[in-house]
Amino acid sequence: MKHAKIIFLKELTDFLRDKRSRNSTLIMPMFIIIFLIVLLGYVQQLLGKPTNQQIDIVHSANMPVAAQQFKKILESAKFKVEMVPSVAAAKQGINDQKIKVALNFIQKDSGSPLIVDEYYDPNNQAASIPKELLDSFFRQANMQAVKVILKSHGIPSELAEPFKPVVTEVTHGKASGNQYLIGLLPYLIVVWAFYGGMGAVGDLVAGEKEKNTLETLLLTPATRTSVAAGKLLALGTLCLGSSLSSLLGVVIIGSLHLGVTKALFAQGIGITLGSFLVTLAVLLPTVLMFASLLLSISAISRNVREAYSHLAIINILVLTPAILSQFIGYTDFARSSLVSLVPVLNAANTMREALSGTYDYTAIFGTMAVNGFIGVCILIWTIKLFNREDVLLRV
Amino acid sequence: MVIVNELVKEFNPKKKEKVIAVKGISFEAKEGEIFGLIGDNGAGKTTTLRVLSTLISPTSGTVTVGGKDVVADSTAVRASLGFLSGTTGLYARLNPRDLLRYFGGLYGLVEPDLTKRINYLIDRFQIGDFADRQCDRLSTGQKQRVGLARAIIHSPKILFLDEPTAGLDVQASQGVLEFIEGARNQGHTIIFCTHIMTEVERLCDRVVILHEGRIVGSGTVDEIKAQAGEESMEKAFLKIVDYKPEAVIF
Repeated sequence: MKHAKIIFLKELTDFLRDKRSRNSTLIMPMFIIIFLIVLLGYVQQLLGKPTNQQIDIVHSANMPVAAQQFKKILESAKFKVEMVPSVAAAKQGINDQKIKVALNFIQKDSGSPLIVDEYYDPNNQAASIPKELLDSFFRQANMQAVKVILKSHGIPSELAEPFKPVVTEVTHGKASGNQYLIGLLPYLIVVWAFYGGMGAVGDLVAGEKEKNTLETLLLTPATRTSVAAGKLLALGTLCLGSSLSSLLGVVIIGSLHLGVTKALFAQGIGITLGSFLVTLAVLLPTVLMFASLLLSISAISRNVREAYSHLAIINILVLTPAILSQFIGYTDFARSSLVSLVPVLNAANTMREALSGTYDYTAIFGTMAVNGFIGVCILIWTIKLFNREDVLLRV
Repeated sequence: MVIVNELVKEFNPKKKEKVIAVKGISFEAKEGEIFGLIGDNGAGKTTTLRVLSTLISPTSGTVTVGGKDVVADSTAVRASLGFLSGTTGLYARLNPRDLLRYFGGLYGLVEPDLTKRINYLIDRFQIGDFADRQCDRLSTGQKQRVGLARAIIHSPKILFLDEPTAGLDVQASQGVLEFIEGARNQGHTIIFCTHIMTEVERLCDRVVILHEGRIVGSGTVDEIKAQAGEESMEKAFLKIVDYKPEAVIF
């Protein structure tokens, strides 16, 4: 273990002295998550406010007076209202994606109801937000109108809503974070546990083969197992460091109480001591699994270039379940015990559940056992690779 | 000190493309001598040296280094020898001082002896001016000096040198050759692989010539020249390996 410790410290020093590697492994995860959260907060703000949504109204010669009044109501509701000369011009504007939603008010005579034609392109994602806000606005306006009419006829206005559901939230845990963050965080934590080590993979063994430094290391009294253990520890530290760096990013941005992220952190930062401990518990075997895998790739590769070609394939294998973790919460499969058997997905899912306030100990220990078992298996294989002269000494 | 007996090394023994790099060679390098291992490319020099230094295991035959078997006692063998080749690299982001500390630690040196040894080697190889500069910023000659210091950080009695002057200029080569002579004078056993016959004539006490994995000549430099009936070692070598001039097209 003495040799493994010396190798571990050297690898870590060597890695941290490289500005590029240091930034990509320890600084970037923090800044990326801060950037993503700020972006998420900004988009959430942008979408939720009518101020930012433009509505176009067809201003024809026979435009009813009520339409003029409606324009004022929309403006008072903070919508940005523009006028367009005709329906044809509105349609053209929608086709050109310059107009998101256009309204044409038609009233045949003064006694007839006001008909509102609504134009939008369902394929334009940007149009769906103002349309939704506008529809909500119409629902509320209609409701108000019905209430006024009922009241004028001496009927209780509450009857305008004969079916009024009373919503009571029954939570299965005490989630203290925003659902957007709860969905995003586990994905980033797991992904960074893998990407954090990627920067070092090239140098660890393949790079040493390429630069002819590996032989000098293998010629020391350190056993091949010690060499593998030292390098694995260094790689694991970087993987863990990257993950925790992204977690630290959340704590930092949450503690700054910025206006743009206010809504996202309305219920707090979202990381309790319990959820942090669960995250760490499932992260450690996952890191062992990733570090062993990355080290084995470095060992079997003849040079840095070959190592990164292998990584391109492994990358997809890791990313696919990680991406799935983003959506699994919407399905019943998230609560299936089978999830614990799927590496990467199991870690992200368990973290997501913990951040949501649910501590499913079967899933937690299942994830730890599965990822730990896979990690140990890959580690044993990697140590065997280190003891094979046709693997370690081929260039 | 180094005894090689009927050494055979096969690569890919279970596959169709089986290569027998070393075909039953035997020799003995005695204490305090420079033993030359010479041969053309593919003769088996580097493979032999790799077996001797425990990097790869022999297919058959026995090898003992300093009385220890390279298979049964590989850790002790590695602890007793120093290795340097012309292509050996240094860790780019470490400086020479860190590098010596790293290898010193791996060879079991502890404080305060480790620092004393590092300071001695920095002084001995005149590394002081660049001891704290990253290795990737050193010249080829400076790197070779650091490489030499690294190879003897643990004061080994046996040195394996594989073309240690490859790629060096005249001055740097001279420094390496003087180092080798100095090591012999201090009683070290040196196995010296090279292509350069002037170095063989200058340094080697005894020599074996390898060709296609077999020993085709052995003895002192004078004995080999006499066997071949040639005045220079280069001509003797070419004659022994049965060199046939190839057509050169300009």
